[in-house]
Amino acid sequence: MDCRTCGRKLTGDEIGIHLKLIGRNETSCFCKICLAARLKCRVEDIDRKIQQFRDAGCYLFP
Amino acid sequence: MIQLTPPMGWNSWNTFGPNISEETLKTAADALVETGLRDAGYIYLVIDDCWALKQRDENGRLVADPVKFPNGIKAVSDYVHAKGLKLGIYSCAGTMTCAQYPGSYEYEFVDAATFAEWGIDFLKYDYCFKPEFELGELLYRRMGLALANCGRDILFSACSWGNDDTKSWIKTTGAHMWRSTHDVMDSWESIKTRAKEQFEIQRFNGMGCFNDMDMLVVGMNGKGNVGLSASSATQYRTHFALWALLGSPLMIGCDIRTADEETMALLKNKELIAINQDPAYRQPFLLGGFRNWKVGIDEDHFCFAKFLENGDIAIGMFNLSDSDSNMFFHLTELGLSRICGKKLVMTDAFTGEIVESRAGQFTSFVEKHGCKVYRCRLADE
Repeated sequence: MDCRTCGRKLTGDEIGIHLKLIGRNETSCFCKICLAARLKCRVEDIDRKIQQFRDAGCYLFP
Repeated sequence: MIQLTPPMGWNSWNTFGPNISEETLKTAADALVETGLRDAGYIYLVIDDCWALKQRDENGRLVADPVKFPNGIKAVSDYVHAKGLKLGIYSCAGTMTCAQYPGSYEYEFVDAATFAEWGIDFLKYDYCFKPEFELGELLYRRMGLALANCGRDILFSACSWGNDDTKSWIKTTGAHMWRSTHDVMDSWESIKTRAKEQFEIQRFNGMGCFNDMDMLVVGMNGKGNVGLSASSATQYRTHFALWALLGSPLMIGCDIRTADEETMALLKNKELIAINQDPAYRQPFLLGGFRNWKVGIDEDHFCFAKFLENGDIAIGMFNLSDSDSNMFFHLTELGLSRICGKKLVMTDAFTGEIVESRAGQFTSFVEKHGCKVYRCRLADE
């Protein structure tokens, strides 16, 4: 899957964090840079949440 | 059981995520009482995901993690009940919870019996790992029946995020509230998105089965499990006002043991809570030029009105844009034509200031990301 805004190829974590923060119904996703821009936060915040949710056992981040 | 007003309480997930324990929950219960939140109406203390062991026992029953809950869930419920509070717990309609603990799929009656035995008063029921071949409505009906027949009043909080057309079947299941949106995070963008998702589904809201806009992020300040970019005090006021006016359950998510005075004042705002808990629970409606506003169009200015049980009207003016605005509405949008000879005497829900409509309309400055909420009494011109 490619980022719906910039077209960059997405990693599994980027798909996971998009589904987690935007909604599990989404059929297209943002890369973490575009997602951070959309949510008006830092990319570091996105990375931090990915690790946090992985540590908590969230199934979106195997 | 019948729930006539949106439930109010506190849930562990937004702040603590998986890091919960008997001690954490007991101190949260203490804080609910000591801060006055319980007396303001927040009576449910809900344990979210990650409380159980990853394996059921030899009888197929859920077991509380003995490291997190050395005295079991019953000890927590006894403690909470002694404080005049009610205890909630979490499970999932799928084979596993979202954090991959055992779900209640095909254990619905076993788990409902367990929860009743533990003195549980509220079940949050998530939607992860639902088998693809199963219909969500059937699984929620199954747990609805299990809870209704377990011998104890347990409020059923469905959490299917609005997926699979939840709005069209949730009232058949026995659920008392239903997550009608995706998850909220502590960011202004998330708050706005979750609020706007409600506009097209307000007509599915109703007494006894409330549209749940997700737990509050008021006072989180970027910290905790769903902390992201944080929100400002103005944004938190708008967040709380929207949740209150649109009739959502009010489930606090911040760490109430350390919340500041401004957060507490907002969460205990008597006018907003009274609007949320109004016994008539009438449907809010959009006013004026925003009548045809639809989700998907970038429109950040809107007014909602709601008729209250005693004849008053709650009116909220919301400016979600990045610029200050003057906003207005006409009384005709409330059904009050000029010939009625009525005006509104309006009490500001935040400041207590009293203002009045003039010449059949009302105009107010609303700061960016902000709101004005009034409880309005009709009076003769």
